[in-house]
Amino acid sequence: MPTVSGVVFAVTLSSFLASGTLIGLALLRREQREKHFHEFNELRRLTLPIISSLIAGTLDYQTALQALGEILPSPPQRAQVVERLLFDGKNPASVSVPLLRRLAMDFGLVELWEGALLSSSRPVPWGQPVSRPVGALGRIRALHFLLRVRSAERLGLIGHAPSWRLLVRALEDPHPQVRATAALALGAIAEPQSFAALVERLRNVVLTPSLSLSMRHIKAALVCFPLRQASELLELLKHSHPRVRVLAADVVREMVVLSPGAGGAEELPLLNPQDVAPELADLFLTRLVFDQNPEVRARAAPVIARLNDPRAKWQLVNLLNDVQWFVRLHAVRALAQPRFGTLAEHVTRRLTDENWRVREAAVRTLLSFGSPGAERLLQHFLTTPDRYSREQIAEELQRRSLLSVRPGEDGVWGQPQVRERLMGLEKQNDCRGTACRTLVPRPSQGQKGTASRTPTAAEVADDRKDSHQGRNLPPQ
Amino acid sequence: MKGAAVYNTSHIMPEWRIIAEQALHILNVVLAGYFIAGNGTYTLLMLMSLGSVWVHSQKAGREGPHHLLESPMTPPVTIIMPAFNEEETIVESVRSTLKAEYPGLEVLVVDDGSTDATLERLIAAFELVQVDLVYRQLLPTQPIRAFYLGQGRTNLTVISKRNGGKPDALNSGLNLCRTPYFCTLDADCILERDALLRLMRPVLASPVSTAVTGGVIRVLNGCEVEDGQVARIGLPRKVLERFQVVEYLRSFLLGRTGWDQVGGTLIVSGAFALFHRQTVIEAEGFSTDTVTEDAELIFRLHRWAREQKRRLRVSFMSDPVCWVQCPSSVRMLARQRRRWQMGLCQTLWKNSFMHFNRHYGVVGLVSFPFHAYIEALGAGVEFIGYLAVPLALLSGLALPPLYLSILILGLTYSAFLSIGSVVLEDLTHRRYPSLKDFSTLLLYAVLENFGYRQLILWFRLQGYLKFHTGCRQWEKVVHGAPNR
Repeated sequence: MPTVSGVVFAVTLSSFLASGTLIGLALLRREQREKHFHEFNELRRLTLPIISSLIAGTLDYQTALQALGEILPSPPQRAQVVERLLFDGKNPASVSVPLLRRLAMDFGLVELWEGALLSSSRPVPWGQPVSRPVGALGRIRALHFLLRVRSAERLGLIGHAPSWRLLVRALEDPHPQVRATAALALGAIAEPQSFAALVERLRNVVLTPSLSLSMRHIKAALVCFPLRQASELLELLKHSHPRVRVLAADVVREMVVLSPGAGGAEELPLLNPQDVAPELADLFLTRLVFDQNPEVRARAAPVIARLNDPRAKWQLVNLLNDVQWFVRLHAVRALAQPRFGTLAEHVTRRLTDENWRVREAAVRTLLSFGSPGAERLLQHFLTTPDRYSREQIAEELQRRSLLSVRPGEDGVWGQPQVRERLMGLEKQNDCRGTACRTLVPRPSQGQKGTASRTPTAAEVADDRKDSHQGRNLPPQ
Repeated sequence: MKGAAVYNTSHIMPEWRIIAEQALHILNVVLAGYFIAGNGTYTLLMLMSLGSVWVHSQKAGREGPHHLLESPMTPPVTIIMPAFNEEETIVESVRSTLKAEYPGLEVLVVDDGSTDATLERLIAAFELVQVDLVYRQLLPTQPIRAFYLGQGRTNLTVISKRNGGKPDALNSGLNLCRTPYFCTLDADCILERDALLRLMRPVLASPVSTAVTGGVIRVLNGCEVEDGQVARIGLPRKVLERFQVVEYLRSFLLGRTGWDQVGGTLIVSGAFALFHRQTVIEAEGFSTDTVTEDAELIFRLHRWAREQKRRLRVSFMSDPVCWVQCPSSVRMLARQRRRWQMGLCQTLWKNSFMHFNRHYGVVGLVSFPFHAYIEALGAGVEFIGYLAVPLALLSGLALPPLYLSILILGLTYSAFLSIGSVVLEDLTHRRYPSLKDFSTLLLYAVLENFGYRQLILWFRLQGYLKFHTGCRQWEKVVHGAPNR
């Protein structure tokens, strides 16, 4: 029993001591941080006007460099201070990348980062306070990866192209976070020669799952490269492994989406042979559009829609009639550009698609065709016996009308015969959920719409069946 | 013979005393075991948390999540906010939520049949217009009354429905949600601007499909809110609220971070959590048969992944922060804790087959037993432990040797763990930078063991008893409005 009581006493005493130690450590760190930030803020106060003048162009680079050199501490600590001044937090947020790169090179930061990436740890004197993160990290070998992560990230941030070989090497780093950051940095630099290394990693992610590298990071890096490099993905697009083909097609799709001129423009520009290699375009038009894997076919649609090729339209029509609903969905979405107005009839057929997401996309695509598309939509709305199709149209028009003119008050919706037909539909209560009623012009109601009707059990079952078709499908 | 019998009985203890003393000895052993298992696990969790939170704060604090704002790989998210009688806080919360920095963000508020002016305030504040939307009932819910869209604002939708409880409201939101991920957010929460981006990080970084990510809940009481954001962080004035600040720090920074390190996360606060929509729908959404639908869903997702032979990850992040009003009266605190305890017991009972089930790995072998024996049943053990002291003194029974020492050690060690969590917060995130606040938190980390802990224990015991009576009543906790 004395032994047990001794243990109890020892544990009680230890918990007191441990609590005291923790509090002491926290207080010590507080004091050091305060001292450090006081010094740092002073330096920032002195250097900020110089950096601001440099950005504004009122001070030439050499003079600024000299002025900064006079203010900042001597070399061993200078690089760390400059690094914190330039890269930590938001100051100076407006420094342009070329200027940032030049400063980083002249103050030896690039050299330090490259050294860290090569795992040559920085010499950190033990006398340096632990409050300085670099000091703390430099002391513990297990945390060196944080230095490598930071170095890779900053090399990417300044777009230091000569570092691409080191970053490619870092893709093999033992720590997954370093590998991920190196991939993103390569994307930020977008050095053409590094594309092949990333493509290789993309293949390995699928074929060697034990690599434990996030596929998203590799994809995010690849899509930053200019579209003309997509031809280097040809081999992967022809790969026998379906997942490799899907990933490669997805990368090309994303590159097309992000290509210049695609940012929010209503009519996306067509891609010419100088943007997309003819061989790649041919592969999409002749092979991937018929790929056994529906996910590849789905991803091919947006690419084909941007190709300047007469075959593109008819391959998209093929995809519109695909057996897989999500291939049809991607095809319908890809057609949402005024130049495909001639395919309105094919899109209209998708208004009665068995899957609601395709129906919804078809409504949006028809509206993107302008007045002819809207007319077609109206005709379909008034004549179709499919109430699901009608309610889909009603919903989309309601959403749009909230931001502009209410349907029923303007344009074709205000025509007497249309109004009459809409009134008729309302009287018959032939719109499930009374969604269609909103389309009937009722000025007396002002902004207020109508209440929803709860769907019947049969309708719910129907909907569940409908929605269940979407299971086990890739996220859109 | 008669004399001998009298002689014998006058010198031996009555039978009840023998039984009582033996019971006390057994209780002593049980208490020691409870102490070793509970505090031992917490110590390990604290050590793991210290390392991981510090490393994460080094990395996340400097990098910031803003590159995710521009990344083409960041998936869109819908925030689903269930609201029931939240007229005091709803407008501020929605305003704060709409300001969240996230590409492709949609906000879906579900008014769960409020009897106050929750819906009216939303309509007035955001100029909502009633519309009819197509509602596909993938998950069964109470009937919908109306849909509203924000005029000139495409990303705010409000659903008004018949009251069906929080899980039912979440399921309604899930039926209307279109994005691959959704975030559940309580209607009395203030979300930090970059919290959602930070919450999305593990989804993008992990090679394994991440089904759930939980964030940190912090106490809003005492903070000043301006324009839908926390403008000044401060400690609350009320003693009861201050104890909860320490408690939340311990729970989120120490407990949940530690469990995340070993892949044993079983509880993620539904007040602020990110879910993969399709996975949740396939697992049949939020269940209405427990009062803690968030915890129940996590248990079910583990089960579902096992049944479907899928690898999925439930992760926890220590830097996305959501501020929540904590109960400021004993009555409301009692309601909250009774519900938590009752919900935990219901969930553990419902998933009892996971108990020491090796097929569930760390979750089945470590996390589940810990939650069952320490978090759920531990309340009873601790209560009896305290109760035995006055009972023994009143009845003249001798307490076993070390009984009081173990109780004192339990309290001392608990104070050490609380101090550890306050120090961990100070070394990493440092949301309470003033020395005065830090010292106050340390003081409350010690004081909470003398009165507050026992009060919470009493509420937990009540929750436990309510579970045994089969009660499923959701006790509504009413919060005040934040300081503006």
